[in-house]
Amino acid sequence: MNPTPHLDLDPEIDPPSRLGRRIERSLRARGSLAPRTPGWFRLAEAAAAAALLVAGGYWLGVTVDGPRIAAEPGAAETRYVLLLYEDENFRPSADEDALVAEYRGWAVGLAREGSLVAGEKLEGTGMLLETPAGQGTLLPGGDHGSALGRLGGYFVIAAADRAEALAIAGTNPHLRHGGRIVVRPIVPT
Amino acid sequence: MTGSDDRRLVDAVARRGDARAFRTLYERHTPAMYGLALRLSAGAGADAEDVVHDAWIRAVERLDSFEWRSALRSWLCGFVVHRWREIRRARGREAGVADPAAGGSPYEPSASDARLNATADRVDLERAVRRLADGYREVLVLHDIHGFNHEEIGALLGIEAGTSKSQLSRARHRLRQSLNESGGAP
Repeated sequence: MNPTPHLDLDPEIDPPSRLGRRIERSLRARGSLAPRTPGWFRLAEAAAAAALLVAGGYWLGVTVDGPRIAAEPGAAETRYVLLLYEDENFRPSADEDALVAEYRGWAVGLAREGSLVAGEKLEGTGMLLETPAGQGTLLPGGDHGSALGRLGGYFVIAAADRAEALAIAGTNPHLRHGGRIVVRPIVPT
Repeated sequence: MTGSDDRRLVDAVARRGDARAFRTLYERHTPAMYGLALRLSAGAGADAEDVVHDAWIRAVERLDSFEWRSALRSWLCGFVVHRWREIRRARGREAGVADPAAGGSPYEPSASDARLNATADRVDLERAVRRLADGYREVLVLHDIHGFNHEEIGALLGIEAGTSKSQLSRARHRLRQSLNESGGAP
């Protein structure tokens, strides 16, 4: 290479931070990078991220909005909601602590990469409201007639496209325990 | 040394898909790749992001075939150039290299070139670079900003080194004309 460039313009320009996340997710989706595991992140970083996450149930109970963790979608990113369903095939570990650690590890890893926006566990019992002044009708059980079973919780993530959203959802431990995940894009408003 | 460290990191990514090694390589080399993509695309940020994204994907897939005959950064920038030219061709835009009408008069070096860096406002300079025809801009950015020599540019763009030299002369001439017209240079 020519050691003395002619124009005094810096050849280096910092890219937007979202670009690194996008590239890393694409490489992982193609199998060029190893699958995401909590162990990839330094313990101190994981602990710092975890401190921002309030455990509730076996994964989170959290809305993440810190500048380092929140995924503010850029021009090339969309938010997706992952709806976590459980039916009779959902057989989580009997070890509640291990289960909490498993879901939390997944969320912390995603948060560290800036791809996690929010996550909440939902109570099984809900209220059906059909009129503005109604008192609501108790709906126990959580499945509310869905063929997918009970809606146990959700995550909101940022991804470049549907393929990346599916790739991220595919790493969620919910699937390993027999649960099912519906991935839906959030319409920007 | 960065070179030997690059080898270790490349090996970790190629053999194990080591994400931490990739992040180090990414942070080390992407600013140059993005700077190149941004200037090749005349400041189109979305295009530059797409180009760098695709360049990294291709490069990582070929890491195990990289023979270290050049610096890693030069090799990575080659993917940027190739991807940018694919996009440009797909859009049907004509490059200055392929456009004889864009040739203009041959550039004659003069003393004013030596003063260019010191006197031209960098914002004006960036704008003038953006206004160049694609073919001129490619050669000028690669040679005068990123430091590639004419043999390397010839290999990247698929042209003779002599053509690269003449294109650079014309590009500099056009650049100086543009700066003079905008009052950004003496």
